[in-house]
Amino acid sequence: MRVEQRQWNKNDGWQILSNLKLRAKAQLVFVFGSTDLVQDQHLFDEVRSIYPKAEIVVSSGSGEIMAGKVAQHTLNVTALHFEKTKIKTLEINLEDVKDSFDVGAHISAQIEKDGLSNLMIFSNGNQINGSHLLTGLQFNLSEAVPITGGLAGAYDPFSSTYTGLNAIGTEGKVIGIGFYGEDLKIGHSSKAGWTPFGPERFITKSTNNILFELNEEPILDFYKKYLDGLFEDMVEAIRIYPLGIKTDNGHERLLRAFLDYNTENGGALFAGDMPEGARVRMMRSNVNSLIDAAGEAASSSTQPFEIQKPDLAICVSCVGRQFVLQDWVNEEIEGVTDIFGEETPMAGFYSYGEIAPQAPNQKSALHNHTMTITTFKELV
Amino acid sequence: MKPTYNKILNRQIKKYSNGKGIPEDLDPLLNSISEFYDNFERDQKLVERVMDLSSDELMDSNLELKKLNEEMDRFVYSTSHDLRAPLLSILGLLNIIENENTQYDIKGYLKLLRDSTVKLDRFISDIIDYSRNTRLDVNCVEVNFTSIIDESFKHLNYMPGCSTLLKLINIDDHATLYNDDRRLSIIFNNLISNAIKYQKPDIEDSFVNIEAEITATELKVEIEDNGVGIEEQYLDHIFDMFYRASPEAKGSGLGLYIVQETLEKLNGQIEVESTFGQGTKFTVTIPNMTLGA
Repeated sequence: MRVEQRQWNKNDGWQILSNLKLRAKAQLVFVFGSTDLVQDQHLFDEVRSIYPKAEIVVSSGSGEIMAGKVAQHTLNVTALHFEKTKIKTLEINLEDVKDSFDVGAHISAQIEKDGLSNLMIFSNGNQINGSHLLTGLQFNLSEAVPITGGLAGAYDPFSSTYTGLNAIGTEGKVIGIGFYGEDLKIGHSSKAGWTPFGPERFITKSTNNILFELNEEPILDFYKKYLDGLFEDMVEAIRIYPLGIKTDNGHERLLRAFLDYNTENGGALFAGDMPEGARVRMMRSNVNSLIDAAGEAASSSTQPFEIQKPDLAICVSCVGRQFVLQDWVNEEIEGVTDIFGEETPMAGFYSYGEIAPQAPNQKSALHNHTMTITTFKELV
Repeated sequence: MKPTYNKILNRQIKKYSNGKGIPEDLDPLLNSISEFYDNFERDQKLVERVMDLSSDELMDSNLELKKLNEEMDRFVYSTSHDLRAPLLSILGLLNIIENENTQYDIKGYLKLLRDSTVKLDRFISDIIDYSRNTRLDVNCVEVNFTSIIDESFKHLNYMPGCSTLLKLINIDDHATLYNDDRRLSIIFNNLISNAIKYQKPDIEDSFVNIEAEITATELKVEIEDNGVGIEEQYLDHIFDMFYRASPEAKGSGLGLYIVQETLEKLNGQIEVESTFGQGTKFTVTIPNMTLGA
């Protein structure tokens, strides 16, 4: 497997990061960038002319990850050539089906399943309910096939996100990439670096990803008890202390990022489902443990899968981490580079939701606040 | 402008730079350190608050459990006692019937058997009311309060002294009442049955006077009788579980406790005024609900 990368920004134009002259040999190209650049037809046409035969997968992010750094207002192109592995792609438009679950169900029904070893998903981030999408994806697919990837992001919270397959990014699209054959090893890991604190509570009132009450207490009252007076803006404060849902997987909690609070109906919007009856605790973190967790994600995306040096690492990190890391976002990517080495190509973006199994051989889940890494190694 | 750092950082700078200050190009570093100090202090406060709140919650639930445990203890002791007493008298009567000569008045024994059985049944009904109130959610419907009082008297009609008691009922309804009809029945059944039970034996003009007023915000009911009354020293305890104000008290000791617990579910209140030997007045106020509440 060979990988070459290039980056575009307004001031410098195209910067070639590595050139293996893949051209028409490239079968798959990832294009990650800011919301405006992934919608730029001219830039897309240029990418298409460089890689005339590749499947081009486009996604916007709220920050781009490339060559060990976090950038903004760039377009990042990663072209892949496989020696033996086959890939197949498909795209479902939310408008053409009933709902998010249906999008997932369509993808899992339509994707060729013979020899399918891994499914990558790049989805719209603001119109799709990621939890329902995953339930749909698992509807027609064996749990043995890991699903990784993420939801697209944008620089402004809650604004539109753009994805596309062989076209510029548009709204409402979900793209699936199936990888086939036994020559490609794919590793994955999802690590958060958050720890729970405060009492455990039951979700007593919620609708999908809108949470109203914990232990029959309005969600805002619950948070105010702890955070009032320590912060000027309660909504920003809650973003720093999201909720973690208890899972069957020991102490690991499924993180749910808090997005916004609706004063009219008293509902708190989270970036994933908050099912009634689930047990949650507040979560906290700090810069150090976030950076350490990114490094842990890198190690555990290779070691358990017996991948020595990956050919490529796709990193999907959460917008919520940017919020805590602020000036230290580059350091979390450095944490990943420290494990893989600088020569390993790396690409990715900051996302509205990360997709990966909670641990090897487990069902895939929608995560928030994690660094989620998919590694590729083709045996030749 | 001189940047403002975290308080302790300011002190550290002053102390270790011997008052000379720090070169300006170190500002970004110091800003970053200052922010970490701030966050650390805020996090410490947060953890303290979590510990305080959790400790309060723990104390509260401990107290609650303690109260429940005590109630349970009393409940088990008293119920077993009260359930056994009528059973023992039934067994005693059955013994007498078996051993006595058949010419004797079996009918008289049967009446005593019936009395014991009724007592047992009433006691068990009280326990069912109690447990229903603790378990079930409030079910709000449109209520016809007049028929609740009528039904109560109909239900209690078999009680000795009910037919001769003078009943004065005046209901002023200025608004429709929305409430939990079953719970209202439990409350007024108990209060009316007390007025019937505790009449003065030596007078003929025993009465119970029920004055009710329904407004958009509340239901207010006064139930006054000229019965035996309650001694002042006992007044504070009459709503306790299994409390009987006198050895002659005929009930299960659960009645007023159930009234109080049921009112709590409806966010209502009860007050009592009583003069020993002259009579008792209960005043009940319950908020008028809205449908679906």
